[in-house]
Amino acid sequence: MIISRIDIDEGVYYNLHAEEVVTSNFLADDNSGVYVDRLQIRTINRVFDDIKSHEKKNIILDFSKIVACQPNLRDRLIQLKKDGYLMLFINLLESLCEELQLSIMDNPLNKKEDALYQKFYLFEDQGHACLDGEFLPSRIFESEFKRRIKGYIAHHVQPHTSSFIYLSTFVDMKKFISYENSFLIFSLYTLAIKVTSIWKSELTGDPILICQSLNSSYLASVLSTLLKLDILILDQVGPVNKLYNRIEKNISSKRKYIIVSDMVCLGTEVKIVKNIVHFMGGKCLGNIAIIKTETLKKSDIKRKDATVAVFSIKRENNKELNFGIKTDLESLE
Amino acid sequence: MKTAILHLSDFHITDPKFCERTVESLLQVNGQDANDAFFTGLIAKIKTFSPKVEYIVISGDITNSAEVTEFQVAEKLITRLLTELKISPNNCLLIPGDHEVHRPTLEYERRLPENIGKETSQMNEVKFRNFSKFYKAIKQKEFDCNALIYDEFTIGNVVFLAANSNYNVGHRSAFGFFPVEELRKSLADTENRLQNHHKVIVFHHNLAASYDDKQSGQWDSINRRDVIPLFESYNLKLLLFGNEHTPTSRALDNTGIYFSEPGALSGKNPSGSFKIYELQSDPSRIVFKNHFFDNRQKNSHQEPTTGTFVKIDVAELKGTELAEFEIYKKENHKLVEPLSLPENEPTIEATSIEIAEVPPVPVVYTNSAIQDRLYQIVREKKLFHSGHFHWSESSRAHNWIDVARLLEDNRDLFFVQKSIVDVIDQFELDKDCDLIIGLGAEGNVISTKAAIYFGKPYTSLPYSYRYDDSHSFERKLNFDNGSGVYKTVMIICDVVNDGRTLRKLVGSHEKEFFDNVEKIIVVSLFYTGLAEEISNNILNYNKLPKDHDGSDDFQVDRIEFYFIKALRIEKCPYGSEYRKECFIFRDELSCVHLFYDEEQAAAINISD
Repeated sequence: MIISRIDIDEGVYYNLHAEEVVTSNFLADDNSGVYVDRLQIRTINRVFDDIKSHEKKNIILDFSKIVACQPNLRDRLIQLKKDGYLMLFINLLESLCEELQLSIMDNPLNKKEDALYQKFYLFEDQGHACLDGEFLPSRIFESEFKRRIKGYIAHHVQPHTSSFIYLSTFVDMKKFISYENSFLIFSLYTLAIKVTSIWKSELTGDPILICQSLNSSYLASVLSTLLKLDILILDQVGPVNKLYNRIEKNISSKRKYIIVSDMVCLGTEVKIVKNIVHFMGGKCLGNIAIIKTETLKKSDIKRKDATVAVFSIKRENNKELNFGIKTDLESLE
Repeated sequence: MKTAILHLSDFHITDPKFCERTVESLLQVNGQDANDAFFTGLIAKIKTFSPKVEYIVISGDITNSAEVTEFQVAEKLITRLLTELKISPNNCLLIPGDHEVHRPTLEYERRLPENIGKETSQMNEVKFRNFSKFYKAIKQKEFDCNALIYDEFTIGNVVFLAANSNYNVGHRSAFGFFPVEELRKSLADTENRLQNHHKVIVFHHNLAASYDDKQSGQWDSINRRDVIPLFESYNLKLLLFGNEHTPTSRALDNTGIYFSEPGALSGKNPSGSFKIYELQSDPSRIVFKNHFFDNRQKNSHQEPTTGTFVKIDVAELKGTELAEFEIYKKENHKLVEPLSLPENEPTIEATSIEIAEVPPVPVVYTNSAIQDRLYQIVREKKLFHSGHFHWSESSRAHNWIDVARLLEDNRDLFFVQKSIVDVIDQFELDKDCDLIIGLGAEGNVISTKAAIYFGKPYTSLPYSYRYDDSHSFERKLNFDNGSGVYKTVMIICDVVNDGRTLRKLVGSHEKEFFDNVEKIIVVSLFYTGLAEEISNNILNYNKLPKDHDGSDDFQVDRIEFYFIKALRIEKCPYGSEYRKECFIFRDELSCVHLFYDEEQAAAINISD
């Protein structure tokens, strides 16, 4: 399973660290989460098999978070080059470049800052403008996510009155999990990386991931593997808002809790879970989700937004995504 | 004749760079001083034994990951062993274990165009590439990777045969296996060449397990049915193997064949061990006396760090070890007068004989290391509860396993997910599987690794008794089976009792989808039911006991069931009148736990 392959106009993008995380944690039993930093031959083989399986010859390999690699990568890269592939490496450590003996290849378009190649071309010929743009992984991901999620925004057959507002459409995250499983894993990987960045110090206290629905249980399970965090399954918050299993429910005042959601719209279910956690003596670190809805301008939000998500439905894109919220009140404008 | 044979196994020499798990072996690639100290202690102990050890068998898993670095250390240590004990390489049998199969190379090469479609048994050169180089360095001859029995040595009229049980081991783990016809041919050849020799066979995978109620060990259970009779018919008397890391010896099943496992040589916990078999042979009797050595200080509970082996009297080992293995005893035969047949016996008319139907051999998961670990977690975390637990009007029990709590610790969760993958892997359940469904929140959580590992389409569904508690979109399968595309579907869940919930899912909630499914494979963490004889079809409606309450149940007969651990729970003995008859429920005493909404369920029943 290749999770990070994204076809863009200029070529095909792969995130090698994401693929290594899949290899280590799901195909092998390394169980190091997103904290792996060494590229194994198995990952190299998987990615290169995929590269050869399609016709596009322009390849962008993202080396973010890769510090070292097993031998054979250089041989594989040289072979791909001989086979006519044009390769651009982004976020490649200078030390790794030297270890792979690639620095003998000198392209004036290479862009290095401190000890990191933001762009390293595995060819010396300058005449390939197709790979000359800015390739920001976050933008590549966001654009791809938006393209894919459009297919899963469906109309409600009857008026849907969640949290006393009208939602004309909803995002069928369950279908997304099934049909876009590989990309969903990449989204979870991206979310995990974001969490390690935003909550770097808080993670040392081993917060616990809470899930309260079928979808969020799947997401929490994968995130548990990626972040090496414990989980807590609440049975059941959702349409019934009723906790069936209270036997020795392990909410501790000494641990913090991260609520896992598939999508946060107005945050009603998140609030319910938060209240349960607080009522039982715990403390919430925040909420993470695949998608969140930004219904307020950032400048108007007084308190820190505690929802971390990999994709936002916001003013800039909600029309394109055909996602809207209404009430029955007259507009004052 | 008196001599001694050293039996070592499961060194698991580990290069931490390639280790996918916590290192469990005292022998590591980057620990030369420690390795040398270990072998100094080991060799010193062996040298104290009398009679002198003149032969050695090493029954596999010498390395941990079959990496070149690990074999380099193995070569050095074993060469030292042979040199200092003055044992000829011709008197040494080196057996490959499943850890001698280099999986990354196999994983890569099986995808090459020239290898597409090949079975793992056809890629032995690739599998054993690193082992072969190591073998040649020690034995000074080539390793025949395609031969089942590939080496031997003889001691008087006893021959020790080296056999390769890794036929099915490939990029995924597999049970021990001997192709039957090839085994028959090899044993026949040996018998023709070495007539009147008594045979001992050495291989890696354990053909039996250390616990009395698990018989097939790490061996393909169907193959085992053919292999053991072959051993009997060719008069094999002693089997030496490793793999389980648990020293033991006894007679195999109800045969006259003995087996012996020495344990893992350099294990940390349990501590390492090895055996020496003292051969005592005369014209009337051949016996191997069993001597056991353990790497610990007596009365110490600390993990050993070096090879400080002590001899343990097998009499102290409480029935887990035999004192000796008698492989030959001369019988006193009396001549018997031939019977004379009476003349003109009336002919006997042939009658028809009814052959009783042989029930299929159950394919039951028997990885005791995983089962025991799972049970240990239940015990340590106190997850087995007593009380009155109700999931629906008809689903009530007096025990409950809190699986959600079991899954809270991320290390236990990872272990459980790996166990599910192991079950699917061992029985190759993914081969024809078209779709995986995780059932309930717990089923969803434990399925994630399997769904990704096997690369199958995946979805999840709520438990039947949770259907109305879920959002409408959570209840959707999202896969259309109108054209019968999904012929085999796997459902992964945490607990199965009598399968009612599953039959309701198949026969009611998702009937439209499942009507076109030919086979439903259920893989569960626990089986809590009451079936006396475990088999793969116990969840089918036609296999339920006659007194089964069929109300709210559905006739589904195409379920194939696998589980990791059986943990029986007590069902509620009261029938449909439990509300009146059970005073605990009736009088609202405090140990009743409802996992469903009674009012909602009653309303649904009325509307139905």
